[in-house]
Amino acid sequence: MAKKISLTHSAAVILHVLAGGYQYGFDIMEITGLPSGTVYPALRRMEEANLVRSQWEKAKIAQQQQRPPRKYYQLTKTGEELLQEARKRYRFLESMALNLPVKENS
Amino acid sequence: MMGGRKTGGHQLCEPGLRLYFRLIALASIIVPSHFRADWRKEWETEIWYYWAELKEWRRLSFETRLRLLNYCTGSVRDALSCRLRGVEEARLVEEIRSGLQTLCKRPALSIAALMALALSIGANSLIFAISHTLLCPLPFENPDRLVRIWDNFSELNLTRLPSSVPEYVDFRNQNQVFSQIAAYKNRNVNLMIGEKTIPIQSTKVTTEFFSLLGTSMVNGRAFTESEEEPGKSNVAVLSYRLWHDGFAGDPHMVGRAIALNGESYTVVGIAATDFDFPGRTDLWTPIVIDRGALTHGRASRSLNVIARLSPNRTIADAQNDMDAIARRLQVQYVGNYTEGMGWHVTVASFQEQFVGGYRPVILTLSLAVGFILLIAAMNVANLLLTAAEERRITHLATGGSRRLLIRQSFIESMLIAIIGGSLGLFVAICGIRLLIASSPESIEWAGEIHFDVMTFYFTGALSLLTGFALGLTPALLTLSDKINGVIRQSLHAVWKKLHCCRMQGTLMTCQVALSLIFLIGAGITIQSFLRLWNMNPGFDEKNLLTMRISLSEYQYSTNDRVVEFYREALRKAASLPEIESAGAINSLPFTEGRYNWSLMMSDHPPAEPKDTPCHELRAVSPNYFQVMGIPLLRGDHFTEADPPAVIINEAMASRYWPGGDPIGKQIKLLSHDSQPWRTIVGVVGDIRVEGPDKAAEPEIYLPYYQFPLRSMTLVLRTGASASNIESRSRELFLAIDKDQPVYKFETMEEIIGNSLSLQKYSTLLLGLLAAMALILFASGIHSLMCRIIDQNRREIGIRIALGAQPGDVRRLVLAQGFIIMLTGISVGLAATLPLIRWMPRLLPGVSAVDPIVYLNSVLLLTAVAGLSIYISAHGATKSNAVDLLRSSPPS
Repeated sequence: MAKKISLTHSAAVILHVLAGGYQYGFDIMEITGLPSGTVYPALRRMEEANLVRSQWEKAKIAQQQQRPPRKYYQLTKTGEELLQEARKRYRFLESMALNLPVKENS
Repeated sequence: MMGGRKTGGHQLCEPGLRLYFRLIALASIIVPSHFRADWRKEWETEIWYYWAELKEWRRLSFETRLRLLNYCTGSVRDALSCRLRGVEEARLVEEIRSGLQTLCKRPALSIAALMALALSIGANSLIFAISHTLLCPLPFENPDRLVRIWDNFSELNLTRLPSSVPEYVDFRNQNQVFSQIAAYKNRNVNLMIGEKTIPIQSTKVTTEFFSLLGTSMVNGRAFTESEEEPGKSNVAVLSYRLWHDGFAGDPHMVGRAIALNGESYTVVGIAATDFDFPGRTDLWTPIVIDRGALTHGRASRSLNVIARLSPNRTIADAQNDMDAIARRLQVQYVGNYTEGMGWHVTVASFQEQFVGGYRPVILTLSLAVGFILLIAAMNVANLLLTAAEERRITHLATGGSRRLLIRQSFIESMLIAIIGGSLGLFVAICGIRLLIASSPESIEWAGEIHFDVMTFYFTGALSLLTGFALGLTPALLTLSDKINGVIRQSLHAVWKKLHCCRMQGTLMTCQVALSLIFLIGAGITIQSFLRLWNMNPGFDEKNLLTMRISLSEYQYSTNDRVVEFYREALRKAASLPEIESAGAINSLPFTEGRYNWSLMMSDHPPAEPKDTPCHELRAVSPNYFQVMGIPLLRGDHFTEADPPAVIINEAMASRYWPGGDPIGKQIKLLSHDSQPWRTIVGVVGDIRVEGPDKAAEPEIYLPYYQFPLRSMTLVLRTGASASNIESRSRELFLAIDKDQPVYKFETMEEIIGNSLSLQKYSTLLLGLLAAMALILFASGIHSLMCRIIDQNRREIGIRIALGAQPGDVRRLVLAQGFIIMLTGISVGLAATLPLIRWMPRLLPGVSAVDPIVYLNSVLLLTAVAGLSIYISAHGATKSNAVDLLRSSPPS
């Protein structure tokens, strides 16, 4: 059941960056400049509100590449809808999209 | 273990990551257990990836590591957020709401408790702000490497004296521990700006002064080494303030000439905006070091020497080095350093010079506010205990767990401490404003006291600590109840009553003891100050105006010219209608100047050179004693026709001629130039500077025309309504010589007041704190007694039902209260024993053995407590038996 969430300024930025392909907590911190004490609690709140979902990548793939598996976050459908609304409210997100570096999917 | 932690079979923790992983492990304690492993794995993996990427791109630097550490600190907030989310969050909100309801249930007690905490935490924050202002590092480059060098004569009880020019040059040339060494001395000068002469504060400095303190010029340069030489030293550095205010920030000021005391000086630099050392300096000029004349003037000590320690050198190294130099100088200049004087050189931290004098005051006030917080905490603990007791009964009856009960106790105590602490912030801010507004001008640092981030953190930390400590009392009550659960079934009622009474009794005993210690400590300090304030200084300090004149050594190079100037100045001053009489002295009592001289008495030849006496010497005008109102006890005053003459004080007469007559005896000053034998013509009364308990030191007075000095203080006895004397006398002296600065216009009462301003200020604060402690104590005792009565309602009800009169009930309550009071007073008196030992160490000159203060404190405390207990007892007798029995708490 989706919990009502008030989309704060930082939450909108995080959703926007997630939509841009930045799926990991530290990546989001690096790209947005938001502190870790803001990004992670926001991600967890949004997950609880069903705006994002988190998943651990498959251990087998990570093992093959000699690295530990990583937890990644993705937008849900509700999250995407809310982001569209947020983009109307926060006009700067549009301009931010132009400045986002292209993220290669790992 | 972290080192062996694996994720997906991958070894995560590398040596460089240990610190970050430890932080994550610590933070994970907060995270709810069902989510902890996943949470920790996510954080550790992200840290590993970040680290690996930095390593791969060879970007592992101090900055990037610091950034990673910053990311890790965010994990604490994330962990807290996890802990407080969902059910936890809802429960916490519920518990906070319940805590607030508990506080609202007893508004009067809650307000009293909150006020107690606000005042006590606010008082602690205020004292913290004061100490933080005073003890903060000096505004110089690497201030911890700066030291001060002092001359001392331990056998003459003279410590922390300045050094002479030859000594400074020896220290500079021979030391192996300082990277730089500089000296400075104050002097007042007259500066001509246009047609106007203004007195300004000038400081003479050596060339290393500015670079040693690490300051640079806004414009121009500092002094060069050649400018220390005679004939080349007429250069000056202006303070930013003087340049800005006096010369309107003229951009072409460097290179221009200015007139100081009638001599021309070239401005070579403008000091940095924030550079103001020594305090309130307007202008710096070089000290002249005549290398050809260093064999003379070793005893003329006027230079304040400062130095910067070389890298890897400590103050102990510097002290050893200076000891070695001092030993060499004592051998080389044996005539200047008589063995018996105990001359030695000490090296001390520069910071210590500034804060050393304030430390006892800060310590006393810190102790005082600490006591106040303890007393206030006792009051609040009582309130929380009442709430906890009620909750315990209902909670356990409904099968609730003790863990939740303790948790609720802590939430309540934290709540009250946080609200109290927040109010305390306002108390501290208002206190600081009040303090600044009421501080006397002589306490220059008072204006710098401010509420900064550190004070905010201190208040927060203190509030949380108080909240935790307050939560312990009800928690202990709950826990001890658990321990005694077995006997509770059978002896529940008796046990509960005994247990509660014991806890209240202990709290009340502690409160009485703490309040008594505080009152005695504050009483002794206040009493000691009042004795100092009210003491008779040995002269009539009323209607005395003083001012200082420092004659230029170039224009007044001969003794005759100096004497001529002062003779004329005194004559003209006395001719003013508002002036009753005018006198002069080189070093006024209650001011810092000291002029000690080695002496020889014709009938007291020293057995060995080390026994040569050395006493304070003052050069005075013949009528100085009449002007000041110092009584002549024997002999006569000085007259111009006297052969070399001297007047001594009573302390000197009784030390060297006890029971005899010193008049006619001969005294000689020991000096490199031949001094005549001087005849004692009179004995005057002692002047007490150090306090009524301290014996006056021997002093000798010489007529100024037989011992002329360029710097003198004029003392004018004015009529009762003397107005505009300051400007009129300034005009008068400028008319004699417009180039000689007249400054430091102060009344004698102001001088005495300023010399005691720090004590006066701290005593006032201590008095306020003592009053606060007494109010807190009274309200604490009252609420404790109310609680005891509340616990005994059933017993009181039964007694009234069986025919006891209100007087009987009152006596019963009073007796209970007074038994606790007496125990508290005994404990308090026993606890003051260390006070007797520590007080003189903390506040030199203060004796903690003062039976009157002890008696008064006990009486005051008993009276206040008696009144509080009586009011509580009186309230208990107002209800009838039925009401009491109906409202008595369940057993």
